[in-house]
Amino acid sequence: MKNLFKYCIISILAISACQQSNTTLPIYGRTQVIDGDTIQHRIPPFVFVNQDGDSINNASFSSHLYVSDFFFISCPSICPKVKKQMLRIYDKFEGNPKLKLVSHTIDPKRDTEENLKLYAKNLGVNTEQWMFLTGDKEELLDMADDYFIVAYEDDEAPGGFDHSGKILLVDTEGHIRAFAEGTDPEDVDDFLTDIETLLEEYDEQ
Amino acid sequence: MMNNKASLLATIFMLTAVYACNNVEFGQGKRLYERFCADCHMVDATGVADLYPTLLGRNTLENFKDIPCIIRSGIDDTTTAVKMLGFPQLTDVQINNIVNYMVRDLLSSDKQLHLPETKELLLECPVKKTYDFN
Repeated sequence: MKNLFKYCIISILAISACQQSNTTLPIYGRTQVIDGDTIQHRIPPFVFVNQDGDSINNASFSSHLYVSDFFFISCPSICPKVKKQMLRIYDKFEGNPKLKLVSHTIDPKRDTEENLKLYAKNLGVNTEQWMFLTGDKEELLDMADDYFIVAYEDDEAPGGFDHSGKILLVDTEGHIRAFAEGTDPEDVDDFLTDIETLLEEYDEQ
Repeated sequence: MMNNKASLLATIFMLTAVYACNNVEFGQGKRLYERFCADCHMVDATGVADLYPTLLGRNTLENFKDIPCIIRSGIDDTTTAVKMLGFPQLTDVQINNIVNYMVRDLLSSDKQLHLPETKELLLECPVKKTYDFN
């Protein structure tokens, strides 16, 4: 009887250990079933322009994971905190050819390519790895929607826009695999682990 | 019984002392710093790279003398993407309290910027664009 109990415990431990080593990150977003096929949420096709005026689309990230956020330069409320966490992520993975960072402005009128370039310079980052995108305002706001980020113009909000400070991890298929509140350093601790998990997963393939 | 009463008194005394420490000196400066400055320069004043400069590293009182006017009028610097706008709604006394909170609590210095000096520094300070804080 004692032995049976022991075996039970060992098996439970073995199963849980096994589950841990096989953990994969979920795919976030609504799944649709079309003609019997399950379709997972994906970042839809986009064409934006980066700080150097280069055209950037989905294919630009077909061989990289990327971390995405939305902001605007004159944002006085949560953006600085989120940028501080984005910078933490950049510092940790600086030089890693498999991970990029992408910040989208939601204020393209004021955040011109030139200003985004200066912004990157002030941050002290290499724009090969961390790029800043601008484009048509409506398309940028729609895109924020696809990243589950609430962003809309609001004259009452500090700086004229209201938006949430989420940071998201997107895989090479355009699926969202992890997210964090960019204003919460502890949440970002877990997010850093998620990035490592997904990078390892890609290394194994 | 006496022991209980004595320890109760001691506890009350300690709580009062802690409360007083937190609330009297530079209490307003702290509150104003957290409301108007910390969003960008961070609660611990570490800032974010050159975007939102750190306030640490200013190691003498002399180094703080540009701050009153910066708080009131902001900085118009062409080398930075983020332009700090001013807070003209803050009074001389409030600005003085913020600066002394920075000096005392952020940098552990026991020096102070005195109000007459702050007033002098603000005298020639132009009012420019402002943040629309509520």
